[in-house]
Amino acid sequence: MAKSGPIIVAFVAGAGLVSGATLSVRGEMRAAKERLATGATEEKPASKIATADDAELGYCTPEFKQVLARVIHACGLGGTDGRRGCQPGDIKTLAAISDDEFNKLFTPLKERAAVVMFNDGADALDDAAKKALNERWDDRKGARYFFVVARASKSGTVDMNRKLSQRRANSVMFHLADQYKDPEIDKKVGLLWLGNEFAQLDKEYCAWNVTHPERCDAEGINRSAFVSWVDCRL
Amino acid sequence: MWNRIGRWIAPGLMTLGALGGLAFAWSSTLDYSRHLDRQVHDLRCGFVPGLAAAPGADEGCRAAIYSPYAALFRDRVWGGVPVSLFAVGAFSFFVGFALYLLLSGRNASKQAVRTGGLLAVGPFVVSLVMAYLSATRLGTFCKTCMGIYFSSTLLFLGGLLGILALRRETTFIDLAAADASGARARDEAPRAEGQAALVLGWLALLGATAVGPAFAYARNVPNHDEKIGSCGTLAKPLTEKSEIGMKLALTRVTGSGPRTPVTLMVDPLCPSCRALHRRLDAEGFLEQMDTTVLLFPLDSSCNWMVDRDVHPGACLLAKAMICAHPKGQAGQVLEWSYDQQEHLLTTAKTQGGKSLEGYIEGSFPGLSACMKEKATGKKLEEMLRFAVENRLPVSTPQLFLGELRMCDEDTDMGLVYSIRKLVPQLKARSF
Repeated sequence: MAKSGPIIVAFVAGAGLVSGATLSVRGEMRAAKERLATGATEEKPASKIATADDAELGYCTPEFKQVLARVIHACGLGGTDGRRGCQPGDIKTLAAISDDEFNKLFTPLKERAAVVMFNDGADALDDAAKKALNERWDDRKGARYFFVVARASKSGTVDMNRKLSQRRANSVMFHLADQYKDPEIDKKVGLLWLGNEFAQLDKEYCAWNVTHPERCDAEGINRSAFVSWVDCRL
Repeated sequence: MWNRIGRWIAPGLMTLGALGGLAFAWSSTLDYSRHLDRQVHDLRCGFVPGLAAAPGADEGCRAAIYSPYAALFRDRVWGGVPVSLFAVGAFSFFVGFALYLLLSGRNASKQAVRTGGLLAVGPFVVSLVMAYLSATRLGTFCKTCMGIYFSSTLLFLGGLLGILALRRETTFIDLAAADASGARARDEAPRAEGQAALVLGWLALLGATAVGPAFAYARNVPNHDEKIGSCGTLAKPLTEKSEIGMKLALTRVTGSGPRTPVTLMVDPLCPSCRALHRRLDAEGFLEQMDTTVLLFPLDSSCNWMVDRDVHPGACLLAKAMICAHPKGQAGQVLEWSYDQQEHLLTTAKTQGGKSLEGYIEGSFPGLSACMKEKATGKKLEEMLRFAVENRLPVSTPQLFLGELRMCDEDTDMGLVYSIRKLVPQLKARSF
């Protein structure tokens, strides 16, 4: 081969290779720039990432959420109202369900909830009640709302028992506010007082997590406030 | 024999080495360039350059691509200029040079052979350095990189053999010339010495071919500036008084200047979290950061936002960190979790939580009672709730510079450039 031949071949090979490689890289870069501008994906698009949110468990049926939504949103929760919570009429007109069906909504919460019992005609929390409330409150997990459903037993007038159950619900609320100093507690706790008008509990609820099982009977179970975090999103 | 080595084998090895190095470097550069769209792509990382990667075979390559050693000028250009691109240019030069030596045969000057051999030391030394960094800093090798190391070695060997053969050729020719037989002296005419000034020319050409493509690359990198910092801010950021999260010193070296407040949301058993942690450390950022760690284990036993155990055992390790924090050991637990990650995941999957607890207790005695307390679970829930309050993605890791969320796309290749844009006072370590 002439002396200049290898030089030419070498130069052409080297220049050709570096140019070819550079051009192919540039082509790849141009394609990447196009994808960057349009958002197109080269491969199978990755599955969408979920957004962090509260828990939503299986018992969050539409009926349950309807009641929850009413209590949380429509009864003054989170607003500027001084008085909060729902009374029996609010639930009876909205939910249009029977007493038993209403109580059955809370059956899945048997292990999660507590039933805080009160003395006859009283609304003060005893030590067992406070302990139970603190334990339930601390067991929040992924829940957003804390439900308080206060009742009164059959003895006494309807009006008297409605007010008594409201005071019982408020006792729970005041204790939680005082104990935890949570500035957003108003947005978390839903209060519902039923007096003796609606959804009375029967004796089988004494098997639940009650604060005084020794004095729990058909009357005693309704001198109570049912409390639980609720793992539902609204 | 040495004549044959000098004539064919040495330049042949050099040519093969240069071609192989070019192929691997080109494949690596294409993989790198593909990621300029801020997406994750499969890597064509293998011993045969250009073929599709086998599942899981690209882990070493991905670690290499995202490492601080994969590119230069990472603070000037998003993703930097890949080192492999310089290799493309250099190996292209060596292909040409080796072909010249191969085709010229005895017409190639001594100077050319010597220069080729000496220049071939360069890629070999660089490969040794990169192999050392892979072994000691990354703990893994990528197949394409190994291909480049092997090719550089072939190139070097070819160059070395060429120089050795040159010395023996010269000796043989001298002896032959001293012989009275005229025919022999005519058949093995000595090589020309060659002009010394040409060496400078070859060096300049090597420099130009190595740098030229890199220059073209830097000029054509897409503009990422609009995307950086576009991934939102914390709606409810942590405050100084906030008791959520753990302020940790995540590095043994502490910088002397003011530190930038940063929140890092991690899962102790998340490989991406480990990789980000190591990148931040390698770049020298961790020592300049005032880091608050929030734990977000992707384990359904404590995290209601995941419907399966993505990283089983992560809840236990998160609780271990929380319990170790008052003793000033939370950072150590995290580092240990990262170091032992594969073993911990396997233990949790195959032997269950009890075995994992035992393993944690063995390495960090005195934590197990605290890990079972309700207060510990509550602290972990507060960290999870932080994600809910801020509507964050259910993924880890997440890095927040102050209140600003760094996009996931900017936490690997574009890490140095993005941080420089968002927080100029954070300086990357120079290598």
